[in-house]
Amino acid sequence: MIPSSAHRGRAIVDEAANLGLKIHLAQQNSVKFNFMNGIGPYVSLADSVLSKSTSHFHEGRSVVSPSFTIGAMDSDPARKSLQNFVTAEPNKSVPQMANLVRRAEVHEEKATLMAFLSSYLSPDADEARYEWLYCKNPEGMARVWVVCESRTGMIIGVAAAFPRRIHCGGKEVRGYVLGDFCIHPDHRSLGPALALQKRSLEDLSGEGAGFVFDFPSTSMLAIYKRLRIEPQESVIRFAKPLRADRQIRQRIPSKAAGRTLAVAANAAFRLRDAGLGRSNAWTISEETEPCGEEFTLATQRWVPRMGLCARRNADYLNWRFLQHPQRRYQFLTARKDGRLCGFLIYHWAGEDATVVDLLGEEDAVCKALLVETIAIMRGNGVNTVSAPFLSSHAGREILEDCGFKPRESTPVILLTLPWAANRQVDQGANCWYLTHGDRES
Amino acid sequence: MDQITTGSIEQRIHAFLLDKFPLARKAGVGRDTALLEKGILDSLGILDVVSFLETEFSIVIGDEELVPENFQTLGTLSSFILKKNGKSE
Repeated sequence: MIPSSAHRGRAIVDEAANLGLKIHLAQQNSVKFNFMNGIGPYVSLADSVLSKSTSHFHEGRSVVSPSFTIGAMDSDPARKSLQNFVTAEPNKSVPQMANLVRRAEVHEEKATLMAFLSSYLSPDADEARYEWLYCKNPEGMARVWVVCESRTGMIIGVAAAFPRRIHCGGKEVRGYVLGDFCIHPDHRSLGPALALQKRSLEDLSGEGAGFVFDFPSTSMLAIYKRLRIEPQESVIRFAKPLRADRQIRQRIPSKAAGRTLAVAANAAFRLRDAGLGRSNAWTISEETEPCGEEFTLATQRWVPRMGLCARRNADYLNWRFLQHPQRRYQFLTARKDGRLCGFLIYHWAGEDATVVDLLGEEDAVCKALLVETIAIMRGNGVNTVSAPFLSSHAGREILEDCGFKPRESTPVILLTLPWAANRQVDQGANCWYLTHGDRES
Repeated sequence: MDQITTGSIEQRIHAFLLDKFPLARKAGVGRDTALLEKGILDSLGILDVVSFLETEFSIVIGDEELVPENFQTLGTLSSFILKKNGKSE
């Protein structure tokens, strides 16, 4: 055993030179190798040594770790020399293995996963959110995968899938919305992310999921692109300005002039919307109690007309919206003679409101709910109401009827997994109904 | 493929980075500039680089090769290409 790190380093360099390797001491527990010219014979040596993780060595660069074994090299003349090197430097002696992707345990690994998510996904990924999203979903526990650095076991990436029941041609099929995908900043070179995403899709497919959908970020799109999965849809944010205060504030420096202009512009907006007319056909009111069985029964009737659509029973609605630990959602219901005919769910923060779900027995009730929401939000000083909606869904016409205009769009990944295809599940002509409330990231 | 050397590889990749990535032009890219850490390359950027490298140097890059070690700097990218072509520094 060589006593000092300086001597150990010298020994490694000497041993490596014997092997035809140029070697650099890098960090405390790592060593980088570069092949020198004319060391072709040692490529096969490296292959046999590194067994399953040859790619790093093929690139002429490797990080070694203590679990390194060299049992396959008996016949090689360099065996003794390399073995000495490994023995002399037990903390620097095993080639980096390929990153390991594995399923994570939602409960057992909660602390680790939460720490990772709050560090690299969002500070909002706190314990309350974790408990709610990962553990208490009435459709089932979240599925979680991690990619770990093989040398240290350290988690360098997390992916999650949140269960949904997808209504599909008269049946309900297990589906998942993907989310909380994040990779440690030092490992954002696509490879670990690809391995993680591949594994999660394979596992979901293997366990019988019929559908997976995702609302990918720009970075995530690169991963899908490499996996040859193209977005099939897009979500358009439909927006309706109700007041001009914010825009005028941003453009007119004089407060007095701005106020005058805003009064005029707001009056014009009100006048424009007077033509929409609030309907008397339904009693529309704010729902303050948790959803009851009537929501389950009603949505069972309404969902089929929407196409492929996640189940919205009372348990799901209560969990997804009313029990959300970080956001306050508000429900409007439309009733006729006490019978539930439709509902709209919105989120309101400051000068902006977003319609996150809208479902009804007919388009007219959905429109009535939107008109009522517009009136309420105008009264609350909201500048803009947004309603993200799938670009191809016929329901967008209701929004346009109410004066919403299409703004920016973002891609949506919709995947039919083999299980659904094998069972020849009718996909409702591939028409999905996904709302802002269907996403979890 | 033309006779390739570390210098010529670096030049071609460098020109590509400057052409495609505004941040590369703004921040400048040297042989040891941390492309990932400085945000010059993100996931989509890496895809562009991969596509460029595969075309420019007639190589195929596997998913398992998309690791930080290969994409960290212009220097590591260049070494990676050399290795892919069976040469070494």
